[in-house]
Amino acid sequence: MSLKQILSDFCKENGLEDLQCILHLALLNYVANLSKKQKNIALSAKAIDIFSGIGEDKAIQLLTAFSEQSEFVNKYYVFKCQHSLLEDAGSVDESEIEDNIATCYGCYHCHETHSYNLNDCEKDIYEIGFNADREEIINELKINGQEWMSSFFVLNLNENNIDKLANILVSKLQIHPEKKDSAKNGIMKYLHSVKSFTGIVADITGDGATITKNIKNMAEDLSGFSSIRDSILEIVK
Amino acid sequence: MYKIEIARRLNKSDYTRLPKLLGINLAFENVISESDFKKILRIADVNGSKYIELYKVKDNIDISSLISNLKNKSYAPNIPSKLGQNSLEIAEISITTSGFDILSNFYVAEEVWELSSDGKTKTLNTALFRKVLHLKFLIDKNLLILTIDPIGDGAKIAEDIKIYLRTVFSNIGINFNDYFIILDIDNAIYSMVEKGIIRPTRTKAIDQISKRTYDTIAQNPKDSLADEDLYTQVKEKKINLERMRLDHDKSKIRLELFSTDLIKIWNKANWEQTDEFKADIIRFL
Repeated sequence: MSLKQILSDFCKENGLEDLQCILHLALLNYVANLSKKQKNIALSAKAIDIFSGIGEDKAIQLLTAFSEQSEFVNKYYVFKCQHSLLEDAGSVDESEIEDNIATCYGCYHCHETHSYNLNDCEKDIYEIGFNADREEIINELKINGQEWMSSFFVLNLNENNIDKLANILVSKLQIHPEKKDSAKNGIMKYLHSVKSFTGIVADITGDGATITKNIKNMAEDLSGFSSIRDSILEIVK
Repeated sequence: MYKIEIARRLNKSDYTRLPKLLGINLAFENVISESDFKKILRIADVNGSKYIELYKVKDNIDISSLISNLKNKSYAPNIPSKLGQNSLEIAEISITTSGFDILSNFYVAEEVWELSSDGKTKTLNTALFRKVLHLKFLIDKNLLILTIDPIGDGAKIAEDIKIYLRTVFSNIGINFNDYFIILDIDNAIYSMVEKGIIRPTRTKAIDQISKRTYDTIAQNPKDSLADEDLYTQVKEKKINLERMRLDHDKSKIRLELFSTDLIKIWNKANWEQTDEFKADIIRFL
């Protein structure tokens, strides 16, 4: 199943429909801005929470849903040494766990091989992590024109969501921290002006050229916003 | 005894398919004859978790003089131990047109954590474990592959291996060092990393000038440290490698390179995994 579909289902099941757009953009931006050196990247529930405000537990649930239904996201466990909970023993991909038994070959701390029964081991003996194929995630979450429109429909309905989107966008600006508040105010103003975008959307069935022109104008104003900008430019090519 | 020894060496999913592969018409749990168990244990003995070293024949040395000293011996594992701790015994010698195999076994006392019957406390006890040293000489490549069960941790076991090797060859009237010299395999490992066959997931190295130790660990099990400066410095021999953890993605085994010439397979690798990895190393030497 595609990540977009999983995200959509997850938002419906958890009453987060209003946040789907925010989550989508937050995930896309977050992944697109991770180092390009690595094919595989670690997805952090904490980072997703910071960008979207859905809470770390919900972010873990979302990433778990991705790992269960998409081949591009994997869940893994980082285990602590069985002789010292302060030291990491190693990490095990979920696909390597059989009958709920995870084996850490050659603990990084004590060099022994440890087995962990996930049914009865203490929660503080492991942490959960997620890794993903960076390019595939970007491909799967790429926003097409129609989705962009529907996302803004949602945004227009909810003031709180505009605030969250402004936070995402301002976090991408290469400016002095002191100037971030005023930048956010500017972005908020801009996003509110997207109210007029509703008018553009109303034109969807009519003049396609007007829509493209206005989106292009928005894209130019959004310069520096990495993948959001790239996504928009992709649409208007 | 045989069942325990086989289960200690291989995963259940692997040793339970061995009877069929060896033409034994029984499920593993129904095997009772000693000759059938020996056939299964012979496979288990040369696979599983192992340290590996490679040796080449010294220049201007005629290996046929060594081979002529060998006499075939059918596989006879030292189970249960008929000798004391550390007493090494040759379990098998097999000479073929492609080379020879020498399999020896001995017992070592090791500390093991044992859980109390109520599962609440752990105590450290000592127990004797059978260890196997396998030598396979490939005549076409002039190469001797040594595999040995874990007998401790890290590069320090290289010294123990030398002692065991001398003992094996003195049993057949040969001075091992007259014939063979150890090969560095680190460059083969780095070539395999470049080809994407294996991924470094931990690099621990020591800068002998500054006396600083560097240790980088990838928590993400799919990660590769090949883009880290530390990996490059180790590869270029600017600092000394202590240990490097590697993942062989195709065969799904976890490896660890110590220094330049000793590598360990951590998993209970089956015969397919072991053979694939050994073939890869030889290919990139």
